Amino acid sequence: MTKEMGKTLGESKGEIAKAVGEGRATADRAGAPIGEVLPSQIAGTISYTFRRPRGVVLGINPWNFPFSTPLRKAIPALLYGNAIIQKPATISPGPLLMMRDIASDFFPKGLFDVVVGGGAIGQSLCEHQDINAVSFTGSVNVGRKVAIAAVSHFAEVSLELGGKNPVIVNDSLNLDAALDQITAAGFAVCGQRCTAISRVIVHKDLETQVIEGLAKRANAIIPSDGTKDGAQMGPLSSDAQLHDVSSFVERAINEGAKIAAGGTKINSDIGGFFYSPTILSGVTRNMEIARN
Amino acid sequence: MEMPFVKLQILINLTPHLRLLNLITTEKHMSIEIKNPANPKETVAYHSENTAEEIDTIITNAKSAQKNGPLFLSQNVDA
Repeated sequence: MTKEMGKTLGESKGEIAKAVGEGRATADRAGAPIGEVLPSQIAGTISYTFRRPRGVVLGINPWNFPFSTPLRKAIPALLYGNAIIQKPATISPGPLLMMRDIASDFFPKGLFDVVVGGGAIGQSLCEHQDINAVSFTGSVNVGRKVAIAAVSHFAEVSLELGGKNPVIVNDSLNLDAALDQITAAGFAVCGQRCTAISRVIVHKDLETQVIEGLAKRANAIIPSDGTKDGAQMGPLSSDAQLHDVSSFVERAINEGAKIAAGGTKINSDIGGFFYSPTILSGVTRNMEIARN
Repeated sequence: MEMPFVKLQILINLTPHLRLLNLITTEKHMSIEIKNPANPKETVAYHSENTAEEIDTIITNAKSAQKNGPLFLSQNVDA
């Protein structure tokens, strides 16, 4: 994961540990009731519900959590009697391909498989008549296409899309602790998480303290190769991502935002996709940076 | 007068198959190069995109495995 999409080794290990915990918790559901008996209005009959498999489930996965997201799709699908085919993101297929190799030692052929490919292949899979359900994690734009393609043949669809998550800071908090948490939640995996904090809404009396406190913390984070011991933050995942992030910041400045920290590409002798941890102030709710 | 509608309907029904055909003819085993984002000069791995034929086989195998699977709650979804 670290070599493919850049997160630090610590973050990669954390993702695996979390995924294993989630997997165990989900597996515990195997013994849970799968239906219920309901009162019937007709004498001598019973009404009941039960769960049944969908059939073949398609998992389409993002590049930012290439281990935990596919596992989160696979375990419940298999537990309830489905087969699952998964498509990794093109930049980080390694974890899923390893899972497939391991699964082939334990599962019947075909029950857990992987398709490698880009958007056209994803589209074809979603449209395939023998795909009975689609679980997608990724962007809003692609999610819309996935939903339309899957619904065209009445496949069940589950979408986990992007977020623009705010945190509200008021004067009742331990400010240092709050700023530490915001920094961690904002910059983990370079901020490339749907659950990352990307907006801080501050009471006007605390504005200066919060901006200075966050800027100080952001400036203390030095992006580096995530495989190195003690790496605090890795590079962005790709050249395209670096372009996206720097373009967003440029447009925010053009709209009137001010840079309190960062805001620059970091040139390294090995040409990595590094970007300095960035804090913008003076952002209004109408600006693109506050909405997308 | 109904011909255009019929042609349109045929085209709609064939669209997924045409896309797969397109994949067969234009994207057969396209290679994907994975680069290290910390050092893009380093190639981490090469992978091949699956062809449409391979994808059809994967889906067929999945369907068969699900129907015949020994796992918890497995059953024929067409039942």
